[in-house]
Amino acid sequence: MKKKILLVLSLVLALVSVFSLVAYASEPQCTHVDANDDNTCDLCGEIIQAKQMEFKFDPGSLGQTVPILCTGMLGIFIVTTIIIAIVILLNTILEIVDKKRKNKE
Amino acid sequence: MNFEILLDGIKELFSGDNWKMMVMWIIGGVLIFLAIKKEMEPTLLLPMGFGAILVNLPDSGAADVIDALFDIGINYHELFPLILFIGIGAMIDFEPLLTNPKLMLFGAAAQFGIFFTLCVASLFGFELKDAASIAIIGAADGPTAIFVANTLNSNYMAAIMVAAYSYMALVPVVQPPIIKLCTTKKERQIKMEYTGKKVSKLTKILFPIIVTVIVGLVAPDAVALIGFLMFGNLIRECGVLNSLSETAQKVLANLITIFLGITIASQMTANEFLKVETLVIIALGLVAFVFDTFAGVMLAKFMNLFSKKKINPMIGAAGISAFPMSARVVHKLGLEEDNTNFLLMHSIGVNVSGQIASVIAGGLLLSVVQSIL
Repeated sequence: MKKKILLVLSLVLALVSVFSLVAYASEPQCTHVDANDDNTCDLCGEIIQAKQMEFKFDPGSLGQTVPILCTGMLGIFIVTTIIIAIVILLNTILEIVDKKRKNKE
Repeated sequence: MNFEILLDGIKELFSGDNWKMMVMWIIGGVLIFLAIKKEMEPTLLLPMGFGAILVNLPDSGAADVIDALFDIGINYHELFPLILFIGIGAMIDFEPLLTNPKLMLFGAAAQFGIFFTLCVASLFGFELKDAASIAIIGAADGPTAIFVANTLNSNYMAAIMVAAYSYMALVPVVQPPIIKLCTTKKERQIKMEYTGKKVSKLTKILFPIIVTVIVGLVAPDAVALIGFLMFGNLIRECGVLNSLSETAQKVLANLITIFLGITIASQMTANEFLKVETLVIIALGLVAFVFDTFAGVMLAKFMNLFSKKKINPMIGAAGISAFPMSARVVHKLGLEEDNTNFLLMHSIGVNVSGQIASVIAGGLLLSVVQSIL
C-alpha cells in the first residue's frame, strides 16, 4: 500500500515537473519592464499598454509560476532540513559534552 | 464670513467620484467595529480603520502626514515591519521547536498555500509582482506581507494588508473546517507524547545566529526579515539583556504597531481600494490560507505512512505563521475529540517553525520573482 502511494506521488510530481519545464521552455516571453513609464518595454522595445488590470484566464502563466512553486517549496525544504540537521547535531554534541562533564564530576 | 470656503469640503464630497469616499468611511467603520466588537486583530484593524476614514476626507490634510509616515516607515527600506520583527522575535520562545526540530518540516509544508496562490493569481491575469504580493498573504504574517508587497512595488498594497490581517484574525474560523475535512476522527484522536527535554542555553543562543547565517546564504533577500526576527530572539535568550527584551516585546512592538496600522491606511484611498481586484485579492487570501492548512495536514499524514510513532495530522495545520492562534486552534480541536489529548506543546513548536518558514518563503519568493522581473 505504502509503495503504491509513493509510486503515485512520484508519478504526479514527475508529471508536474515535466509539464512545467516544457511549458516554461516553450514560451520564452519577455516579462516587459517599463521603468521610465513610457509604455515601451525597456527590454524588447515592444509598445505595451498602460498598466491596467484585466481579468483573464491565462493558463500560459502556469509555465512561469509552476517552476516558481517547485523552486520555492524545494528551497524551503532544503533550508529547513539544513537547520534541523544543525540543531540535532548541536543538541547531540551538547548532550555528550554534558554527560562527560557529569561523569568527571 | 465666507461660508463658501467652509462648505467647500461638503460640496466636493458630492461631486464626481467622491461618493467613494463615503464608502471608505463605511469600510473604515466596519474595520473599527471588527476590532472593538469582535476583537479581530484590534491592534492593527483599529488604526487601519481610523486611518481609512482620515485619508478619505475631501482635501484631507492628514493624507500628506500619513504619506510621509508611509515613505519613512515602509517605502524607505521597509523600516516599520523590520523593527516590528525585533519585537516579535523577542516574544517567541523556540524551546518547543528545539526539543523536536523535525517539527520545522510542517512549517515548511504549510507555506505551500503561498506558492499555490501565486499560480492561481497569475492564472486570473495578475502581473507576476502583484500575484507574488497577493500570494504572500498566505504567510499569515503581516510584516512579511508588507515587506514583500512593498519590495515588489505591488499596486494592491492596502487590499493585501487588509486581507492578511483579517485572515490572521479569522484563523479560528478558517482552519477547523479544513482540518476536519482532511482528517478522520481516528486521526484527530492520535495522542502524542511530549518528552519535554531540556534545551541548553547555548543551543537557544546559537539557534538565532545559525538560522540567520543559513537563511542569509540561501535566500539573501530574506536576511533582513529573518535577521531582525532572530536579533530580537537573541536579545531574549542571551539572558543579559532582560530590560531590552522586555522593551522590544512591549514598548517597541506596540509603538511600531500603532504607526504601522495608520500608515497602511495611507494606501486605502477610495480610488485605490474600491476596485473589483480588492474582492478578488480577499478571495485569493482565503485560498492561500486554505492550502497552507491543507499542505501542513497532508505532510503529517504522509509522514505517518513511515513513522512508528504516529503524528496527529492536525498539528501540521499549525505550520502557518499566525502565532499563537493556529496552535490554540489545533489544541482545542484535539481536546474536542478527546479531552485527554493535549497537543499544545507540539502545535506551538510547529507554529513557531511556521514563523521562520514564512520568512524564508517570503525571501525565496522575492529572490525568484525579482530574478524573473
